[in-house]
Order: sequence, then C-alpha cells, then structure tokens
Amino acid sequence: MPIYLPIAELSVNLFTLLGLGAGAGLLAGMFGVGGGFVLAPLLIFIGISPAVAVAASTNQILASSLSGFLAHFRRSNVDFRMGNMLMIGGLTGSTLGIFVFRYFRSTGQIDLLVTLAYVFFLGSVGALMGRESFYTLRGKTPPKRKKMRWRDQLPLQMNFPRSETRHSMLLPLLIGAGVGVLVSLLGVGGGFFLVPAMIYLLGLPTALAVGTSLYQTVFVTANVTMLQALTTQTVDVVLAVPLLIGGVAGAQAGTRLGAKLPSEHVRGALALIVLAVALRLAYGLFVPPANPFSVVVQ
Amino acid sequence: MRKLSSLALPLWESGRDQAHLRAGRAVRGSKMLLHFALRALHASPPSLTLPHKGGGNKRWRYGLITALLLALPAHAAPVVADLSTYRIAIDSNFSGIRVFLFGARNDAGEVVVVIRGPARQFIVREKQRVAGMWMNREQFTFHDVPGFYAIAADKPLTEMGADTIMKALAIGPNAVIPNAGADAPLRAPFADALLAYQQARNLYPQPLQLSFMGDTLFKTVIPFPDTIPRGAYTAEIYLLTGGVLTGMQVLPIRVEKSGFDAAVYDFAHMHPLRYGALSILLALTAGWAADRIFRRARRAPKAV
Repeated sequence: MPIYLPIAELSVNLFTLLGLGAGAGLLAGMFGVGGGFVLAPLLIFIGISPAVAVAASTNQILASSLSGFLAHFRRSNVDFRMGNMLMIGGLTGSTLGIFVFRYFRSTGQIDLLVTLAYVFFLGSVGALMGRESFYTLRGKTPPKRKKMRWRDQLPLQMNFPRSETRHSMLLPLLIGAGVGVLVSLLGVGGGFFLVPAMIYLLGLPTALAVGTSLYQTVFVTANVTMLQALTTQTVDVVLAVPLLIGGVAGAQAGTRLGAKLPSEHVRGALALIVLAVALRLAYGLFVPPANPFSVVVQ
Repeated sequence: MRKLSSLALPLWESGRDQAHLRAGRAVRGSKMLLHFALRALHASPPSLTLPHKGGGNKRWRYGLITALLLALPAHAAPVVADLSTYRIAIDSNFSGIRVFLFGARNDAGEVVVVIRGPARQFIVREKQRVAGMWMNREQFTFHDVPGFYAIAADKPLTEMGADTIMKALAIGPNAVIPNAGADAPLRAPFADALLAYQQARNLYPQPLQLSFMGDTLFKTVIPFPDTIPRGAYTAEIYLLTGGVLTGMQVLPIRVEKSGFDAAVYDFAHMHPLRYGALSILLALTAGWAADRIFRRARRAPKAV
C-alpha cells in the first residue's frame, strides 16, 4: 500500500515504513540504544534524501526517548542535575550542528562527513563494547584503565547527589554539546555515545546513565526537530507517523525479548552489529562508485 | 508593434540570461519578440514554488503572449492545437499521466511540438579518488534547465533545415541543457550526466510520435511521469515552412499538488514554526501513549 510523502516527494509502501520503524524500535528496546543509527541509513537506502531521513529519524527518537524516559522516571533512574547540564550542552551543540550540516550540504561534502562520522563513532563504540563483552564472556574483568586525574582537576566542580559523584560542570556540558552535534548531523539520539560516556567518564551506574541520557535526548531531539522545520523544511509528518507507530510497537517487543536473553550475549551481539555497520560504511568509501556524478536540484 | 515591443522588453531583461539574448539575434522582428515572451514564461521566480502566490502576474504574462500572437500579420491561425487537460494535480495516488495534444495546420509545413517544464538550477558534482577515498571534487552549476522536456515532430529535426530558428527557440537535444562559454569542454561530461539523470527519471522522454490524420489534423500523447516537478509548463506548437517559422501557438499546463499532501507541504513552508511545534507534539503524544499502553509490561531496571 503506497503512501505519498509530501515533503520527501515520493511514494513509499506503508508496510515498509512500519517495518523500518519496528526494526529500529526493536533494537532500541533490546539494547537501550541504537534506533537512530539504523533508521536514518535505511531510510536513505529506500530513496529518501539524507536531509529528510535525518529529520524523520530525529522525530522518531523524540517519541521513543519520551516513553523510555517516563518508565525510568517512575523508577527514579534520572539524575536531573546531571541531565540539565547535559541538556544545556546538547541544545547548544545541536543548534551548532544544524549550521554545520547546512554548510557542508552547500559544499557537497555532507555525505562524506556523515559517513566518516558514522565510521568513527560506530567503530570506536563497537570496539569498546566488544572488548567489554569479550572479557565478561570469558569470566575475566577488563584491565583497569588509568585513573583520569585530569578529570578531577578541572575547574567549576559541582556535586551530583543523585549519582553520588562530584565533577566539573564542564564535563557534562562538553559531552552534551558533542552529542548534540551528532544528533543534528546523523539523526541519531546519541545514546550509543552518551551512555558509555556517562558510565566510563562520569562514573554513573548503568540504569541511571540510561535514564539520564533519555531525559537529555527528549529535549535535544525536540530542538533539532524544530530547527529542521524552521531552516530546511525537511520534517515530513506523513513519514513520521508510520515510523512512530512501528517504533513504539518494536520497542515494546524488544524490551521483552531483551529481558529473556542473557545480557552479556546481547551486548556482544550489539557490538558485532555496530562494528559490521561501521565496516560496511567504510568499505563504501573506498569502492569506486558506479556513477561518479551526482545531481542536486536547487 | 512598437508599443508591444516596449512592453515585452522588461520581461526578458528581468528574467533571462545573456546566452538567450545572443541566440535571439538570429531571429528578427516580431518573431524575436515572441521568442522572448515565450522564454519569460519559463523563468521560475520563487513564487512558482507556492501555487497560491503570484497567480495574477502569470495571467498577465499569458495575456501578453496572446496579444503578441494576435499581432502576427496575415494567417491568423496557421496552426491551432489544444490539450486534453491544462491542469495536472499530484495527489497521493499520482503515478504519472498521459496528456493528449491535438491540432490542425492550415498551411503547408512541418509541425514541431515542444513541452517544457519549469526551469530550475542544477548542481552536478563528480567524485574523485582522494587518498583512496571517493569524494566530491569538481562541480558545475547549470541554470535554466527545464524540469521536463519533450519533443514531438513528424520528421527528424535535422531534416527540417531550420537550424537557426531551432537554436533560437531552444528546440532539440542540444538545447535542453544550455552549455556554452569558455569552459564548455570541461562542462560537457557534467552536462551529459545531468541529461542522463533527467532521462533516468523519465523527465526527458525520447522524441514522441506526432501522427497525422490526413494532411491537416495531428495528435500526440505526452507521457508525464510521477517524478514531474510542479510549476508552469508550456506546450509550444510551431509550424515551419521551408526553414521559416510561419506559425506558432503556446498552451499553458499547470502542475500542482492537490489535496491533503499539498496542504501539508504548504503548511510546512508557510508556517514552519507551527509545523515544527505540531511535529514535536505528535511525537510526544506517541511516546506518552506508548508509555500509557505498555506501562505494566515495562520493567525498567532499578538503579543502585
């Protein structure tokens, strides 16, 4: 059943969109992260332009992060003080990211930039997670990393009672800003980057890191959706609705499925998926293109 | 005639580039004016992207062209034609449409029909290998390239012996993508790539069949694919006698979005703030509803 997308300006099968939303939701539900980095590339793959795909994926993440946040909020898995610092950084970074996106789009290098960013972040996160689950599966603890003394010497130290930590407020601000740029550029929620950063760099417990990350994501994706609507007019509501419905259902199925599977194996599988996507994208950069010419209508 | 010419001048001065000016010198007198009036029709001001704006201005242009046509001496209507529709509405079920053009010639000569879509600016980029990676390097911009272009004639254009007029009126395969100037050889592969791109999307169909019934009546079918851009199109019907233009007619075709899709598109472009707020609200509602529906099923892990 084809439906016409008024902003993307093409017809796509409704069930394809529902399926894509469900697939992204399933991943997000199972692993807590990873809806966006699958959804945006798949939307581009079925012929939707990168700008529209990134905006649609952002809008879908807004919905799934709100429902995730509400669940964690009831379990008081949210450090609001930390979340607010991340959010301030995130709003700044995502606003900046929109202009970076526009600049590189006008020079024709946006596809290259997006691909390189994906390869770098997916590659490093995948390697980090793979290393972790490799040691866990073999019953060993990973070698202790160096004490991050530079972290504790930064100015503007601040107490975070909910996390029972004390950090410079610059840390969450900078992490939030970095993730914000990624949200605008890649159409991802940034959880795959934010959660490990909070666990390893800020020392938060996993559940608290996930809840706080979702809190920040709600605001940053809302900001990006609004900025896309204002500057590029690439937000397609007709595209968003089936993605939202599929995503919501997929996330619920994923949550139940994830609860049944042993978590070390799930994490190992996610690490492999992430690394495979990174390798596939990197491979594409080095293969001679079938048609070296590309056309853009102004 | 002088009055008409003073009217027509601002039209091409405002909208057209120098290339057409140069080409136009070959055609003298009233035909030159016709040419510029016709070209002006194809200029695509920003107002064309929003169907509800600038309609009055357009009607004035069509009026001017009609006035110019009426000013042609002698044979009032050497060629007359009509279309099966003047308006193509793109809705959610749109999968292309075939429009019939039929007409009659009242003079000896060959009939050439040209259908032109709204002019747009295109950027063509070429990927080259840099440190092993393929990235966009060289790029060229092409102005005033028609979004749709089709030709119907009863014999090959090259056999009509009207090359000068063809060039002036931008008829024929070489005229679709204007490529002139000092860097023309460098641009050539990019122009070819643009042509291939438009052909792959069925926007530049192969020459159409113009069939005659008897000596006077002719017809052709124009296949508009589902990828057609919206805007003002023209069907130009020319009568050429011995390499000289002896008659012409221009018929407008308007391609617009209709129904719910058009409403969404216009809302997104005219009220971006409200549209953005609506999109956010929609996503938040979906997220909140999901939480409500599945609240019991959810098991969020408790933090230490």
